[in-house]
Amino acid sequence: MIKGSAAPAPGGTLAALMSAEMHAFARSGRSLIWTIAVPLLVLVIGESQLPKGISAQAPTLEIVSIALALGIFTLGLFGYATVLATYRERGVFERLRCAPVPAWQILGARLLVQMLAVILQAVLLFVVAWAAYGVAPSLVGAGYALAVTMLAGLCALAIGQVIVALVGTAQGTSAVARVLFILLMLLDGFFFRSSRWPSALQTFAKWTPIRIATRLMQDGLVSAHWGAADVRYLLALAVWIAVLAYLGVSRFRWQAA
Amino acid sequence: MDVLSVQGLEVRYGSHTAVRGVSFGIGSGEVLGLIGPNGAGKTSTLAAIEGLLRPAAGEIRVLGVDPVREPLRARASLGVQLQSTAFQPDLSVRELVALYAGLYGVRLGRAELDRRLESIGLLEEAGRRASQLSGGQQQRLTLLIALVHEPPLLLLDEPTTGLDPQSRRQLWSHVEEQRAVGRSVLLTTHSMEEAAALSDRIAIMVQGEIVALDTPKKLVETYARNPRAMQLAHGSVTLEDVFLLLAGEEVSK
Repeated sequence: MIKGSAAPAPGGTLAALMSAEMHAFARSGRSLIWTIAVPLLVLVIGESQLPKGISAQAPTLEIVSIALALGIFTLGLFGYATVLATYRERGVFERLRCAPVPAWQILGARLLVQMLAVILQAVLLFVVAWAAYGVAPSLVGAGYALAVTMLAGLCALAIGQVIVALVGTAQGTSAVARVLFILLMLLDGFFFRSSRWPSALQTFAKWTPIRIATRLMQDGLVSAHWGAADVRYLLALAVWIAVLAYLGVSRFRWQAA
Repeated sequence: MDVLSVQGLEVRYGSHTAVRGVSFGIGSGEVLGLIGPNGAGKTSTLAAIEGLLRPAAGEIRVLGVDPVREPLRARASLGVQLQSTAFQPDLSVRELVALYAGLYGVRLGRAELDRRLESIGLLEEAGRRASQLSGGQQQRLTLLIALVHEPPLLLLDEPTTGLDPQSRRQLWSHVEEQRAVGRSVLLTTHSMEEAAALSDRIAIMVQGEIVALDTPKKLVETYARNPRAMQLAHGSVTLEDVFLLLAGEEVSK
């Protein structure tokens, strides 16, 4: 009598998915641009804007914070959301779901690879800041930065997940990601000083995930210390992650509209 | 025990019933052709067997396993080829085969992987992306991936659509090889020629129901003297005439 096959071990299927996603990530020029080029460009431009003669750590670390936060969020928008939307539209998810793999692993593998990319991005940025500008955070400061990097990474991926959940097509996802990217650049305070904005807009911007992440990063890196205000920011970021992740997962559809 | 058993299957999308009370079984080493016009419910039936859709009613067993209760276990016994090739665009042919081997818990060394690629004439394309392959090569790749874990049951959803005659015949040979080694196949197709050439039995599905199920020869014999079938036939009654008789001549939406 013919016998059915046993379902494979979950660890093996996750490892296979992660290996494939890592290959796909490394081969995608777009992902590499968002991981490496964008934050480095922001760092170089920001550094070039500093008044000559300033050699203190703080201004450069603040620029590093902005560059890192921006890099993390663009990675969530372009590296994660657009890839997911493309997979869905082409039927990649449909084929993967025919395999004996738990559904959470299919998305989880991509999430884990993106988180690794976020950490790689942070390390790269600190190495360049040290090598090119002689600036390095304290060990404690680096610890804070790593914690914020992980949380901001989760928040950025949750935003990407929401976009894919709410927008039906890959083209639509890409368009929404582009608009949000511009908004993030503006809200991050890199191009325009937010102190000149109307107070309502300032308050709104202050509690957006990217500004929260930038603020927490700056405080951690520069002063290696989080005060009471930072704890509030931390809680706000946790709320953002929880709400966005719930929305993104509950509204997500495996098949294209 | 049938390799696949479907009893009273019903699939609904909201108020629309796509599959109504469908029942059939597939024995070991048998090829069952499922034919029907567009929207007849063939793909919905396959999706329910794959555990991707929860049936509104009925019972499915893949080697005794219920795909609703134990989807992973049921899928482990299925080899699946979908209507269109759908693989990660940035992965090479070799990486895709390795990925799906991993997903089915199959350990493939480099030599074994290359041997399998060579067996379907894709070794030279191993480093290329799947999207860069020709239609025939893509279909051979999807079949190789469907067979990577040597499943007892193969589900092929319109596997030769869009292929040239050479590629189509090559794929037929691969399906016949699978039957020869005792593998069961559920095949959906729009080609009567393909259904007749490959299937031991054929189920004709119309508007979500199976309206006829028999060997190709018996289906033709049953309707050979039917006046309407004879009117439709250009010469003696063929399987296509039987299909048109049962499914209707109107072009489906």
